[in-house]
Amino acid sequence: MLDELSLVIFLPVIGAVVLICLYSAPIRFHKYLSFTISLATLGAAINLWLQFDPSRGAFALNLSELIQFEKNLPWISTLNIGYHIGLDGISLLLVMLTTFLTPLCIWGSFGSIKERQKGYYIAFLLLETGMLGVFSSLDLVLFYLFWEATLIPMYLLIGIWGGERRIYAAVKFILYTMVGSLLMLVGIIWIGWNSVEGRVTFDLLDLLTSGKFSLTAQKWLFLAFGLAFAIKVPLFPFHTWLPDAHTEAPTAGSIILAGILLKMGTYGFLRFCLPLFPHAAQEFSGWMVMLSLIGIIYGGLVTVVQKDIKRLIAYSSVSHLGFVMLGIFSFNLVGMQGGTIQMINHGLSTGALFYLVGVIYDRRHTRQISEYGGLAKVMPRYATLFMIVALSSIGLPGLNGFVGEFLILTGAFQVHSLYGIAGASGVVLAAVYLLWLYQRIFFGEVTHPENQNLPDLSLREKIILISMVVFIVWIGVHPTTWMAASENSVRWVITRVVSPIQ
Amino acid sequence: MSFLLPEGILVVGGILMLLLDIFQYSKGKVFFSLTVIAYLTAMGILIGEFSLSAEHQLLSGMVNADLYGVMVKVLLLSIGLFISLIAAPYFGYILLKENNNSEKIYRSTPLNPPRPGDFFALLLFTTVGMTLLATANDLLVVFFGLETMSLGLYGLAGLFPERVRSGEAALKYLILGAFASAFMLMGIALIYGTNSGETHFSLLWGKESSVGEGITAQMPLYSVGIGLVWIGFLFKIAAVPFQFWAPDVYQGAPTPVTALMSTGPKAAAFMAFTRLFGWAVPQTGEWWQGIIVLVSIATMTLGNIAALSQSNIKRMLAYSSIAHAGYLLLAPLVVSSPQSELKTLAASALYFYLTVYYLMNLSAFAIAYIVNRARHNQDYSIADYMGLAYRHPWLAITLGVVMISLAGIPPTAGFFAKFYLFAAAVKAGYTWLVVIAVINSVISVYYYLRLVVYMFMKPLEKPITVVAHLPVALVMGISLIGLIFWGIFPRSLHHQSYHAAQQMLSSPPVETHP
Repeated sequence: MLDELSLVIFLPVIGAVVLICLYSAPIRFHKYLSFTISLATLGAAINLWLQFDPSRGAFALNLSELIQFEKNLPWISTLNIGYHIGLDGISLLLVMLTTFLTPLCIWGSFGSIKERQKGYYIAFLLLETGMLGVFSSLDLVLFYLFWEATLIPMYLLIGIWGGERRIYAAVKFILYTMVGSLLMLVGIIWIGWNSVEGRVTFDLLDLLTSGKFSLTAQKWLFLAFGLAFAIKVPLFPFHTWLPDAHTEAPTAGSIILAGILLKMGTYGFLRFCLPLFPHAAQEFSGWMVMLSLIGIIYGGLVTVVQKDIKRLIAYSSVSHLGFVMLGIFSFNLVGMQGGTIQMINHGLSTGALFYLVGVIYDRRHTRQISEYGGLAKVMPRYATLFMIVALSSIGLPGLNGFVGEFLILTGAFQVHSLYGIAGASGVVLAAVYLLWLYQRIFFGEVTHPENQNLPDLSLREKIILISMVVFIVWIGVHPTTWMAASENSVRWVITRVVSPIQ
Repeated sequence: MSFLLPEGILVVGGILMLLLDIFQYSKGKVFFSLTVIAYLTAMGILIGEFSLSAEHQLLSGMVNADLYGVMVKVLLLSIGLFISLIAAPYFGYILLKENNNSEKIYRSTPLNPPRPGDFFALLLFTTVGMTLLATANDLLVVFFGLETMSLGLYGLAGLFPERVRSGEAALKYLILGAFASAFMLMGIALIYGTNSGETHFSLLWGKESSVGEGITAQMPLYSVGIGLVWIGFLFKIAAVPFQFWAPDVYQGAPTPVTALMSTGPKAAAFMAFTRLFGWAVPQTGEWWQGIIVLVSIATMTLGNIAALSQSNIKRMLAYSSIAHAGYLLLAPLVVSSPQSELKTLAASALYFYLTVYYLMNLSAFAIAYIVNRARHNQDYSIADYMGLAYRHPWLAITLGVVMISLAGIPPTAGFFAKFYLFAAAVKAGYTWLVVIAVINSVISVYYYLRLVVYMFMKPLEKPITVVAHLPVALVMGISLIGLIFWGIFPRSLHHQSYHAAQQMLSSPPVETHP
């Protein structure tokens, strides 16, 4: 039988295969089965969370001390590529986020996806396996396989069930991402042959202990890997695929794209770029911080002028992920922990924001801000939840966003006060665009007669949103529950970068 | 000796068909069954030989009989088998149960199907040519196999003489192919002349050769000979700058024949020349390596960029074949390096790639064929595929998986095919070439996924009913399963080919005299 972690990773794809075999079953069967499978995956992941020991690996020197639920099986022995999986604190948090958001997305799609539904749920389950595999892989080729495997389901989700310009967005998404990924593949192959004298290895733990890279090699590899991750994050100036992909994707697609897929990029930096190429990371850290700050400020400014709600939220992701990157590249515990928890926060807040947009889109089929106004009178519960989520995205103390942003800014400030100041302006910008958005949509008089009789949240929508809000508040009020898991791993990454063993 | 028994069976089968043909016997079913039986028997014999532990040469060292050779032959035979499966229902050789709602009665057979004897005999002889070419140990056997294969293909390309395009294809292929063969023969003659009358692979082996002195003394002519042989080879695989014939010939020939042309000769030629340039000529290796790098870059780039603008699926697949030939040229490059580990990696990667490649291509052409039949014209336009997923989801999924695999996206076998090849190339130091190959892969994603876009994301405007008879469905099903299985567990195939390649390359051929 499968071990616990493999169960979590492969349960969705097993479900997808079952659904393919039973393709002719009624649509409701597909919907409920896929929802059940995703809940079962969540259950298995909670099982992992309960068994995870956050105190393990404190002040570790090797990543292997931090990895739990490890499994290593030979897979392609001719090239010494193994099925090597395991979780540490950072990946565990991301796995929890993934398994938490997916059932909500699947359930949330019940009402909005009306055509070719069977394929939709199958694609969603395949996507979930891909994402979980990315976060669990400890072998470079395995990681690459899962990374690329998320592309096709996402491409199909955007291209078949998306908005008007969906084909353009889907093709742009896949081509853009693949350029980066394929260059990373060359890097991976090069690492396999050239990192350890006399043998070939693609295993991350092996590379970390035995691998030796010259500074030049590190720089090239950092760029190769970094490009792929920077496109995914997205880091300025590689962000131009994001607005189209997010806007044209179906609601659940946007939630997963913003909530999880973007984090694959930041995770890649934490897991691969920083530990494997520490010298290069130090050399390039100035650039990365610069690009992050530009992302924060430029992203924020562009967000302010958007007229389409979804596009506005999409651009806000550029700004928010800029914060995460700023935290990561500050190379101190405060900043990096902030970056890590902010990954989770962004997934929850922006995921909830996209879902909220989906709710209103299902009713009015328009995303233009000008079409709305005074909705607080018509849909008070919706307005309340929207306000909570928007405030969390801005970073109001007491909610999750504050925890992340405060830590990140503190960390950035420690590096250079200018970074902290510039970053803080991003918070102001967030307040500008979100509060202004809120005012235009909800406050004032009902300006359009079509908005007069919109129904408020249904039970399903309420449960989904409240589930997310629960965590938004929980992380905001008691973040230690969550941050304790990743602390040792983050400390290890910093040790690795700041004082490399070479 | 049983290594050559399969060829014997095929030849006997071919002659039998010609005889039947002469006596005006034209029951297609019989020809088809005989062909399938011949192929299956031949494959059965070969699979029984898998336990070959020691390699040996046959025919005074003319043919290489080892595990790798066996595997290559099985590959080529299965290509032939699948081609006969694809062609048979549509050339009217076997009439299967028609679709029940055949209100719009369409002809499932062409106006004048070629005589079954013609088709199957040519197919069998072509297969023999391919297997001889792929397992050859001597330049003359290479030429012999190449010519047999090519002549068969010229005939197959022109099977429908009443169609202008078909005749054009055959004539173009014949004339240009004959030209290329002439080049190659001249090259072989020069090698023969400068090599003191030896054409056996072992005696082209540089330092260990007993005629090493002779080679150095007449180096320039020898190099010219090698160059001419290369030209012949590059033509056959449609590499730049000898690729001009491919799109027209692929488009004009009947689709099952195109399927054969895009897979079989490439596989056989690559096998032969990888062994030739891997083993036989490391001494003169250096000068042509740079040129081949350029050819490889030009081929993949031209193939991919030209395919971007194609609206005819056969031409698109033709250019895609050209691009893949560009990637495959990495194999002879890497094999020609002195380290044995690299040689093994390259040879095993080549085998894996060619196997996966033929699965993808055969499936793609088969689907193109049956979709085209449902449109009752010769357009083969990409627009035929719009909204196909609504009407035939499994067909669309199969073609979708094939396209994704051709693009090299995991978790399909096409990804691992490229991965193994690129891994070998990086190890050999061709990292920059791999970067270019990888960028080309991204370009190719656009036109491969364009079909996916059309099938899944566009609405169904013109209704279509595609009929997939059992043999074709069988081919499609096997490819689908193979592509996905080997995309997740590539080891099962790669391990085998690695082992075989190791065995083959550890013992260079030796000419034995009877």
